[in-house]
Amino acid sequence: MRTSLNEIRQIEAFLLKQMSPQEQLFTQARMLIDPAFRQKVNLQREVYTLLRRYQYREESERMFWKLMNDPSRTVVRHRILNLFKK
Amino acid sequence: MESLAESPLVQARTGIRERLGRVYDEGFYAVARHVSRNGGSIDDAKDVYHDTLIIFSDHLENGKEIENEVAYITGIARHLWLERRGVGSSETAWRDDQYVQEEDDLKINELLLLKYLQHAGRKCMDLLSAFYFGNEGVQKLTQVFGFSSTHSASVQKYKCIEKIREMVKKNNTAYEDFLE
Repeated sequence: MRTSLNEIRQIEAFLLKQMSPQEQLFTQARMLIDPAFRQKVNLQREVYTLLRRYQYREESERMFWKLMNDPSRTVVRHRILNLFKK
Repeated sequence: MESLAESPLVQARTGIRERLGRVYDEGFYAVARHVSRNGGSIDDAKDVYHDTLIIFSDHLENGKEIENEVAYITGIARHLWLERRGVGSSETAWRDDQYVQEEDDLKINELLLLKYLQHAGRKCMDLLSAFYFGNEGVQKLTQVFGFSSTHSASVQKYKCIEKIREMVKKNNTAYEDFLE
């Protein structure tokens, strides 16, 4: 695996707290002295946050589909749709 | 196999999903009523509501105690609707509202980035979601996605993280340039 992908694997282990305490300390020290590495860690942290939010958005879409198609939710569905009838 | 499921990042997720499920219908009605009274369509209401739920879930994951969920959600949705319509100084109004604190950092550009990723980055986001949030093991996912080996699957996973990371970096840079 190329170096950049190995680094991503290591950063993931750091962010998911899967490193030994010693490795964790070493990585934190590297973040202090290496701004480019620190930026990579922060960006990757953001990726996981986005993934989580992506999941919630997908979940919302599934709930919307159920609301619009589930026969047991006809009453609330019509209440909502009626709000937009001219 | 690395799994976000066991990590502190998503430990609270199951409970939050349940709360979202319980509040969904009533929350949607409340937001739809506000949007419809202020010139929006059902599609606008759905979009604003789903953006709101992301912010709401973020607050829950940060440990915020929320009693009246529908009122809370409606408060956030009101601001998002104002932002969408470009009405007034929503930045100040955002901070003054009881439902939003100064430390809240979910900005509109982050929501836009998420929407962008749902299209431009969809394949990678779906792959990563399956790896990190799916219930299948890496062996099964290797088969499902057609990889030749679990090593290939891992390599593709890290390539996807690299790709999404670059998109985030570009988005952040563009946003900072916009602010200057």
